[in-house]
Amino acid sequence: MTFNGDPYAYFQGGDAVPQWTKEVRSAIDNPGVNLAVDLGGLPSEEGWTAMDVFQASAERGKVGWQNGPGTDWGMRQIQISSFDDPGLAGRIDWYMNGADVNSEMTGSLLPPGVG
Amino acid sequence: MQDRDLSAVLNAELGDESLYRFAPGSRAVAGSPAVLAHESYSIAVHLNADGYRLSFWRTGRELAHGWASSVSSVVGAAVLWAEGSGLERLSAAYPFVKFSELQLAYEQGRAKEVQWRIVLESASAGYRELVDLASKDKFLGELFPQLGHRFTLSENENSDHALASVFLARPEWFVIFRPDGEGFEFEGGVGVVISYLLSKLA
Repeated sequence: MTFNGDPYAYFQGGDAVPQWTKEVRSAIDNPGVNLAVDLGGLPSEEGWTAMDVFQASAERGKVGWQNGPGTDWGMRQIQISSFDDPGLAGRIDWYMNGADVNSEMTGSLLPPGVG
Repeated sequence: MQDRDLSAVLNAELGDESLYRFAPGSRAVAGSPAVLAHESYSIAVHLNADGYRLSFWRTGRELAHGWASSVSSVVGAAVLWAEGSGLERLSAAYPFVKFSELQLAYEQGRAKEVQWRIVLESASAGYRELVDLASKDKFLGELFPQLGHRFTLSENENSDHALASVFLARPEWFVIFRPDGEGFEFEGGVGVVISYLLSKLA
C-alpha cells in the first residue's frame, strides 16, 4: 500500500488527483493482488487493538486525501470496498511495526455497528 | 485467552506485593490488551499467536513497541518502564523493545529538531527545495514538518492538525487545496509557495 516517490505524487492525466491514489484504488479493486498493511505509526491509544487502530484511521479518512494523511484515506478505501467485496479482508496481511497482527483483525472491516 | 485472563496472568507474575497492576484495556472487548498504567507511563500487552505484543506509552504517546515470548519478560519490561527507566535503559535490559530515532527524540524533548533533519534527509528530489527553504525560514522552521504523500506543517510536535498541506503536482509545481478539497487555494513554484505559506501562517 505504499506508492512513494515523485512519479506517484504527480497529478497524472490532467485531473487534480495524484497517481498514488489511483494505484491504491487499483490494488484494492484487483482480486489478484494480495495487500500488506502496516498499522504502525498511526494514531492510537493504549487500550486499542489493531482493529481499533484501523477503524479510527478509516474514520479519519473520510475527509479525503486532500485534507488528511494519505494512510487514513487508504484505510477508508479498504473499508468502503469491503462493503461490496467480502473477500477483501482475506487477501490483506496486517502488520504493526512489521509484526503480524492478523489475529487482532478478525471480524468485519465495516464501521462498528454496520453490516 | 480473554483479556481479563491475560491481566490475571500478568498480575500473578507481578505478585501481590507489587505497586503495579494490569487491567483490561479501555475498549474492554474481546482481544483488547491488558494495560498497566502508572503516573504518565503505561504499557499495553496484546496476546497474539506469536507471543505477546507490547507497546510502551508516556503521556498518551506511543514511544516503543516489542514482542516477547514469556510472561516474565513482559512483566519485567513493564515494571522497568513504569519506574521511569527511559527508552535506552529499557531496550538495553530487554532487547526486544524497539523505538525509532523520532520516538527517542520525543522522550528527550527534541522531536522538532530531529524531525526536520529526518524530513530533509528523506525528501525526494521533487520536494527537496521546498523542504530546504521551509526549514531555513525563521517562522516556518519553527513549525513541525511531516513528509509523506504531502508536505505538512503543524504548530508543534504534539499537534495532529496540519496548518498547511502542500502537494507536488508535477515537477517544480506545487498545489494547496481549498479547505473543502475542491479546487486549489494556491499553486505555483517553490518560491511563491514559500511566500504564500508565510502570508497564510505567519
